[in-house]
Amino acid sequence: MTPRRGDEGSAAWLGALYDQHAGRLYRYAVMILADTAGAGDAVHQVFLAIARKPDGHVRSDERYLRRAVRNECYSALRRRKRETGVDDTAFLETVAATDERPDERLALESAIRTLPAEQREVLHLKAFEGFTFQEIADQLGESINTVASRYRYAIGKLRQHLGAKET
Amino acid sequence: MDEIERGMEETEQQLRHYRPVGPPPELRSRVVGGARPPRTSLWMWLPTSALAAAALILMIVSANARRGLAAEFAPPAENREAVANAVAAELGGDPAVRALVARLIELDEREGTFDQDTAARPEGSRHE
Repeated sequence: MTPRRGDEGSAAWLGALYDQHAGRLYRYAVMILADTAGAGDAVHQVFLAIARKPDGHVRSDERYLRRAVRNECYSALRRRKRETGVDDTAFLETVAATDERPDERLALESAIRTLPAEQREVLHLKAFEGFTFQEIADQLGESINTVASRYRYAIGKLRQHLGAKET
Repeated sequence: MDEIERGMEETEQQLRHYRPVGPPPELRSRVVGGARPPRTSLWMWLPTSALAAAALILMIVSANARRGLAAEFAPPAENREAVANAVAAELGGDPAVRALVARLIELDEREGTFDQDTAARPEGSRHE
């Protein structure tokens, strides 16, 4: 259930909203930006904008939040073109803690960093979040063919990159 | 399944072992702690404050207008004297009564209710 801003005050309401959505939003931002610090800033900006809106003007559904984070990320990418230095902190983790393979993770991260943001985004939504191509197309306002080809390009490039590293 | 598809499947399998990292713990306090109280309260008071300001302005303007009108239509001093003398004479002509009548006329003028014509008429003819 979506938390509602009530008598308990803005901070408690925002905390509940954060707990409900921040994990998914942050991971989404991490994959668009391939940068953990930038993802933190994007999520922070979105929640701050929500906190500053008056009651009755607050939209806090998942779809809206995703779009807001996405906009923040692409704005950050446009700014980044004018700046130098990108965060190279690890942005992937193994699903099972016992499955740690640092070399493979590093290779994957490095391969993912070479992809354009649009391909990283589709890769994330399909491979990590499990959305269908149709759902991704609806979310991004793109055609299903565009989304599917971005995904295939992304996987193809990852394969090439990983294959080149192995040889 | 051709070789390309098999390769893609392998890469997807490899990806399934991983996921992007979650938010660092300090982000929550940064978000929740950094949130200022909503501006709702300010906006909520705006119509009320505007109404109160309008009422105050209206009150000042009408008070000024009333004062201006009272000054414009104030009876000349000689009329006031004549009316005071006439009323005092009707009440016996005592100087203390004369002074009281003059004071009453003055107060009446300040309130804006003094009517020279009615006051100057003999008592019997005031109620028609």
